[in-house]
Amino acid sequence: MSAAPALELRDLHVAFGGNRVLEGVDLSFGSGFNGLIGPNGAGKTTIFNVISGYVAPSQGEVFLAGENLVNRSQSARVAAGIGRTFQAPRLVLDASVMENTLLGLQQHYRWGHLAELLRLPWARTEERQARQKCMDMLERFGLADAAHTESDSLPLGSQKLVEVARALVAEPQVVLLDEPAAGLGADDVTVLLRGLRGIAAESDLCIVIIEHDLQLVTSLCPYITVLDFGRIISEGGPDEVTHDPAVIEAYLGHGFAARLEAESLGVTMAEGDAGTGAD
Amino acid sequence: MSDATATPSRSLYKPRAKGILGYSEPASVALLFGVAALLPHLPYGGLNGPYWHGVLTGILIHTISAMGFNLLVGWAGQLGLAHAGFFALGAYGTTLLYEDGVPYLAAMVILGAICAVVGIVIAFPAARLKGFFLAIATLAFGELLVKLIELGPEMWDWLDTGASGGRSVKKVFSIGESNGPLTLYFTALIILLITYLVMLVLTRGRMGRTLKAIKDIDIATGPIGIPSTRYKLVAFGISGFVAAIAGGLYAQDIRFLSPASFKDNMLVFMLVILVLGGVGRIWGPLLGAMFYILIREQLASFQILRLIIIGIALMIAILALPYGFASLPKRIQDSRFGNQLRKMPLARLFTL
Repeated sequence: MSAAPALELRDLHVAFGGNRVLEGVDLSFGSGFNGLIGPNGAGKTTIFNVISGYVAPSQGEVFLAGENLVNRSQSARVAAGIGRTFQAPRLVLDASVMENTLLGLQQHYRWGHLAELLRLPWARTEERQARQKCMDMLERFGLADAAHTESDSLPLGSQKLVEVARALVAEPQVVLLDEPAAGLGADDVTVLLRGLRGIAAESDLCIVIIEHDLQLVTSLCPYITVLDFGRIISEGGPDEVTHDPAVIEAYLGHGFAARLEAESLGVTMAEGDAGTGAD
Repeated sequence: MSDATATPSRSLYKPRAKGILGYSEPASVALLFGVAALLPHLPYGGLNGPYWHGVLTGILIHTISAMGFNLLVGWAGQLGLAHAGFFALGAYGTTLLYEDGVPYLAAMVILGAICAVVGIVIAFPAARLKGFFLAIATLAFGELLVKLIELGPEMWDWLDTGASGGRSVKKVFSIGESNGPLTLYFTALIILLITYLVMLVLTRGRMGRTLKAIKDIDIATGPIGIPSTRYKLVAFGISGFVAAIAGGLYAQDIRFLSPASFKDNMLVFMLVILVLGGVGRIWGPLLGAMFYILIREQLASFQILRLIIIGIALMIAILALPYGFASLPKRIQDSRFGNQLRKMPLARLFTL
């Protein structure tokens, strides 16, 4: 974690009717990888929805680099530097991978549609630069060869990678990845991690990951927050969090740490041996 | 983020499909419009007679109208059904303005601008509605426009839309009576060419992909950074503009305006044209309008039979060809027989 947090949540409360989803969440995310884990219904995605402006909190504030975003529109937040992906990929299926990625650059165009319509040279230059930028980003996620494929002919894993590329091509300050590895094959996960690590190494991007694959989160994120019933029950380094009794009770199940260690040693334990784990 | 991996020779643009007979796309469009310009002069099968002139003009006007509708319904996915109302407003408004001394083409553009503004105004509340609710609200608004035209003269003296909205139209463009010039046909053809080019550039570019995103993933447009409301307004505006222009041409085509021509069946036929031709396809409106107008004219003596045929075609289209006639070439190419067909010279005729 760097010294100054990129994204800061203060005392967030969210309720859907009488159902209190978040109850006073204080969080700060710095540059690099941040993990956000917890059982289903803990409020992880709701936190993302509050940050991106899809859900208005009943109380609390969201700061991006010291700037309060709570009253900003969704597109103003994107302009301020927030990017995100969704649990189920939301791509335009009858558009190509390139076109889907270009959607992420929507706010980077300076020339309007009239210039586009009249095919003015500077508008065309701008479009070509945007496409080059997208191509570079797709290259990082191994999708350059699929750039002109229609999205609906891609497997789910690749669709999720396209979504990550779309979120990152706008060069956000903070990117929120909602279960990016869920549904991905081992190869795709490798590509995803290589791409994310590459970008993280080159910039001070703050990456927040919701993920149920604990091994992935613990190996990737130096800082993890655990959420349960809308409250933070633990935060800290991977070791600290996975050995926290409250986390074991609420989410991991007993014997998880042992299983994680066993897996990292290359030993596979029989199913059911090591508690319920996460799903 | 720097561009760590340089990609020297990768195409940034999707390779374009070849047009008709393997010609490039601009060449095939020129060819198509060239044929359209020659068609009414061919001394074959009565094509150069008044009957076919009327049919061909009708196809062009309905194509223009459906192209505007297609942007709103096909690309943006907004089921805004006030189209017939704007079409009527264009027809009556242009006629009235012309009689007040405004040149006809200028009157068409003025009415286009008015309908664009009205379209944007109704889009403000409509942008908050989705699907079925949007359809009902805009349908009601379109009907309201037609009702105002019908009942307006009883309330306001200045509104000269005739008794119950029935009024004759002063002839401006010749429709080729007694072998005169076909000014209406060629005006419509030029306007269609302009509309087509505008739609082509808009839908292939940033506007097109943004509208597609609004249609497919509306809920995700906010977090991606797409101001979807603004784009919905633009789509309603453009669609209203084009509807009014087509209405102005239509008035010259039928020469007698009556509200009955613009009521719900007008809208239903617009939807039929779109669904049959191909929703969200650039050539959809033309193919749909050709089919619809030809069926309507050829089967004019079998009132009920033609409705049945259109109905059956519609059912087949929805079940078998969700993207209409315009998707047929691609469907054939992608099918098992596609490879064999591709080797046949005539197959390239249809790769639009």
